Amino acid sequence: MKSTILSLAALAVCLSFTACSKNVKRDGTAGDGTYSSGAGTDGLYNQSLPGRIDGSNPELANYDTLQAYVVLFDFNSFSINAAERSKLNAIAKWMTENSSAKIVLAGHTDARGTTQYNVGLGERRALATRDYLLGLGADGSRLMTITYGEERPAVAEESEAAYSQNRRCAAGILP
Amino acid sequence: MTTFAKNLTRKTMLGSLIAFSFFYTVISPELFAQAKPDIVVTGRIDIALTNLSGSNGSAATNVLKNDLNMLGLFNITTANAATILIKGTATADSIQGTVTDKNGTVIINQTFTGGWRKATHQFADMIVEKLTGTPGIATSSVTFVSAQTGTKELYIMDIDGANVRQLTNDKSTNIGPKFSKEGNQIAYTSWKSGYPDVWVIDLANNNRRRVSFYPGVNSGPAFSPDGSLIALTLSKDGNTELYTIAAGGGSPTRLTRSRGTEASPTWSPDGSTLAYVSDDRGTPQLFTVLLAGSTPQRLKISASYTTEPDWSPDGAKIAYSIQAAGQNQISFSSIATGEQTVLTSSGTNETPSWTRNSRHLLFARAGKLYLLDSVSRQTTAIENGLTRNTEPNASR
Repeated sequence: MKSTILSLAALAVCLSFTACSKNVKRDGTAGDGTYSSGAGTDGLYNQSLPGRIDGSNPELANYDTLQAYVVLFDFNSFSINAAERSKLNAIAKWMTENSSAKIVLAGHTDARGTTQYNVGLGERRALATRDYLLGLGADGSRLMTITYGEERPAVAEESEAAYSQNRRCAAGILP
Repeated sequence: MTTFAKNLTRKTMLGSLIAFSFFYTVISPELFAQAKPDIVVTGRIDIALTNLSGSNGSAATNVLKNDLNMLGLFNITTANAATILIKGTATADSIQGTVTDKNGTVIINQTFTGGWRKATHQFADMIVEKLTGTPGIATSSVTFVSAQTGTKELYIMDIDGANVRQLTNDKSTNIGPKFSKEGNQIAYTSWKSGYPDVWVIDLANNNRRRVSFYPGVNSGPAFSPDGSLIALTLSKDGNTELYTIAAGGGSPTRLTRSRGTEASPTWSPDGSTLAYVSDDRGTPQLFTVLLAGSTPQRLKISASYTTEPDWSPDGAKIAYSIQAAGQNQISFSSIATGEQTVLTSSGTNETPSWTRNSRHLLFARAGKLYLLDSVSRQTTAIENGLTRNTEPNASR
């Protein structure tokens, strides 16, 4: 029974990586507008994510190098504010200068709102950040996303000042 | 339903008609054809509980009293004032329970086995069912999250707070546990691998399997009523959308297509429809979509931040939490009429979860878990000896 579960899990891993290897190519030409179909929605929002990198663990990502470029968000919003655009330009530039580095974009929310929705909102912030970087010509196959919802505040306090620092997307360099 | 329950229902119909009515919703009737009106008992039944005799009489009496008191359906009083008399004998293994009305007519005379505590809960459930016509909930289990150890771990307990058992010890983050309908499996979201994945625990052997680990987020799993599917949020295709996967594994089927965030799916009891949260129109609101595919319909609820939907087992209601003035309140809406009822009034009240009787709800407030009667609004704290409790979910 156990081995059946294991082999099913292995099969699932293979399937997801097969799907991903196709997507890596598509993401590689992201700037040219080669997106999967999505009737009635902006193509950017339907672009498949690159597969998880074998053996990489986002827990071990280095968030220090790009710490100056943590993108902040308004309450309950995943829109990129104009004031944050220079940070994204800086991340895109860094990616060009470090062409082998893979980045994980970690989306977070403040403690207000509910647990499950905040998991989704955190991911949506990471995706909005990713979409913006793709628009700047960044290589999508090097841009993973992860959400932590409200689980990992930057400032563990209940105040508007803390909340504003916690509504963020941080770029980490994967080992 | 017993004659007793029928009489009680008729007596209290007026009470239900003048229940809080705020807003009206237009919902396509065929979509919610499975919705049935529930029995509403707002009066309390006067019962007398003679201390149970036998070697475990004292402990069993306390458990039985608590089981009956937490519902808000009974008023425990003297034998003279009561219409129902409860007696019994408790040993370590079993309970012999007798329930009669004032005239001596026997309503229950039965022996319950399987250990005194479990037997007491079974006796309590039968009392509730015979006297009110609705299922008892004392034999329900509750799965929940506690961060007492410093990280969010999953636990399970009896609904009265006893028999707490820690299910995970991952020192990661585990959230959103939900039972399968049979109560033998729990689906949840965990960052154990480093990424947010969906896992299932099989309670028979405590084995765990990771059922969804696509790129991006895998979160908010909910078993379909027949157990064959799990609804969840995935972002693998570039946006956070609702999908279903086969519970045993398999490729996902996409249900939504929007620019916003979709989260927290909950199933109608017939498995045809899912209610969920979407912020596609700016703020999080509740929508429904047919499993077979349909244009999502918004549930018209008068609140700008509405999340955490939970469809009642009888199909008649959806509970949710609304955010107003920086606080969170527990509410529910009738599927048939759209009538919205706000149940709590202060504090941050989160994660409503219906129990099997479609009348009582569990929720979390300030790290504690509560049982809430959606009719009388009686709120009872569930003392489980743990701190930092969130996200309760009851077996059905």
